[in-house]
Amino acid sequence: MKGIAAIVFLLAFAPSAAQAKTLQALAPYAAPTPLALQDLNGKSHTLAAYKGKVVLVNFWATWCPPCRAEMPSIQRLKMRMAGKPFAVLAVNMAESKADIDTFLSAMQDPKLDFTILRDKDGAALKAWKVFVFPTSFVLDADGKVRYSLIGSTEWDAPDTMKQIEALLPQAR
Amino acid sequence: MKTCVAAFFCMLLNVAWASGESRSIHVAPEVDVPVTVYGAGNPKLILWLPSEMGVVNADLAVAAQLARQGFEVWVADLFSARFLPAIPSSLHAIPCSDITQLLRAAAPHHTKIYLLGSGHGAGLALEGARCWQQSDPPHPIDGAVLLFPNLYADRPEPGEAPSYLPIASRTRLPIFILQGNLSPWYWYLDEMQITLERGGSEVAVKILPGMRDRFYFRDDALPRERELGGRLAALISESIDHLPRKKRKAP
Repeated sequence: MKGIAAIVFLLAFAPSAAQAKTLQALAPYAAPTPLALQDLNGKSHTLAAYKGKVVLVNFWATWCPPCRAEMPSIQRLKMRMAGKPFAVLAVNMAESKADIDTFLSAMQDPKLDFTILRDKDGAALKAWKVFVFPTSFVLDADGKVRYSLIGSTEWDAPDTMKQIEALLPQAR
Repeated sequence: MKTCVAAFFCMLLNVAWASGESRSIHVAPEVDVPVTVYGAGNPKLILWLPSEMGVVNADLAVAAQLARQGFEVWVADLFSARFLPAIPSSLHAIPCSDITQLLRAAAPHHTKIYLLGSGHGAGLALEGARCWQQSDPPHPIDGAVLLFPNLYADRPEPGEAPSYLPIASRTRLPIFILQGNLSPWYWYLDEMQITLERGGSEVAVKILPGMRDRFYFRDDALPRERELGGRLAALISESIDHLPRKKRKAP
């Protein structure tokens, strides 16, 4: 009886998975930090260098199952946006290069070739106030944060792509 | 012969401790809390409160191990008692008087009393401790062990500053936090510690390298997480030994 009551309560009040996977539109605000981080080859990246592009900033870790699950769709999104002013910056949380390389080696279908940045001391995570992995932000071409998402999603799903494409400079 | 008899009774005792003893504690009109008790008769009490996931089998296994380390452990299924589903908001539907009633039933037989909470259940443990300390007459409590605690009032939205549960800064208690470093919460531990200390708590923290939240009962637990999960009872026992202040004092 208690079990049935619990199930009924869950069905009635628990948010659906679909609700949890929608990009949340935000009142545009300036990115909280220049996000000056190095990639896996030690090359420095700053958000300022991406001005004029729509940028997906994704906070992730290899030990986070939903982060791993959405990686292929981020790659597919990148491929479908090829030739458009769009970039992915995947910010890894303080893991070793070896751990990240091992993960990337295992991801072959599709092979991930977007930019991975290393937040070695959690400074970016704290500045961007990230509390759940994965957490993502979509920035417009002016560097303003326009969408956020807690949890994973299929980034190349039509509705999500439509939201991102609407931010492209020629679409505005 | 005496050795054989002693071994037989030890075996019986171990079996009893491993399986736990089911009790039902009346805490309010028409509310009886199912409690599984391990190590009955041991002088130190741990009241194990549910996380947002309710009571899981791994909790019971760790409680059984704690019994072997000299604790009497009460694992209280406060969700079932009130027909609540195992979700975070259910924790707010549990009055702290449920916990004080449990402690009232258990405390007279014990020299030391500790609370244990994990995840979102850490807030429930702190609420329970405060109610117990403020009950009439005031009662002492010896501390709380919090596993990967989540003391945020709501799920913080990305990009926004989090707000803590009011109880986080209203607790005066020796607290020991066990937190894995493979968790977003790890990066905000200093903030949580400051918030807890603001209320007068003394807080010690042990970082568990390579561990994720809920490591001891994750479906996808890594070998190293399973290994440490098997030693969690010892970790909790050590944490109790190293609680920052061990005065048995009511506020």
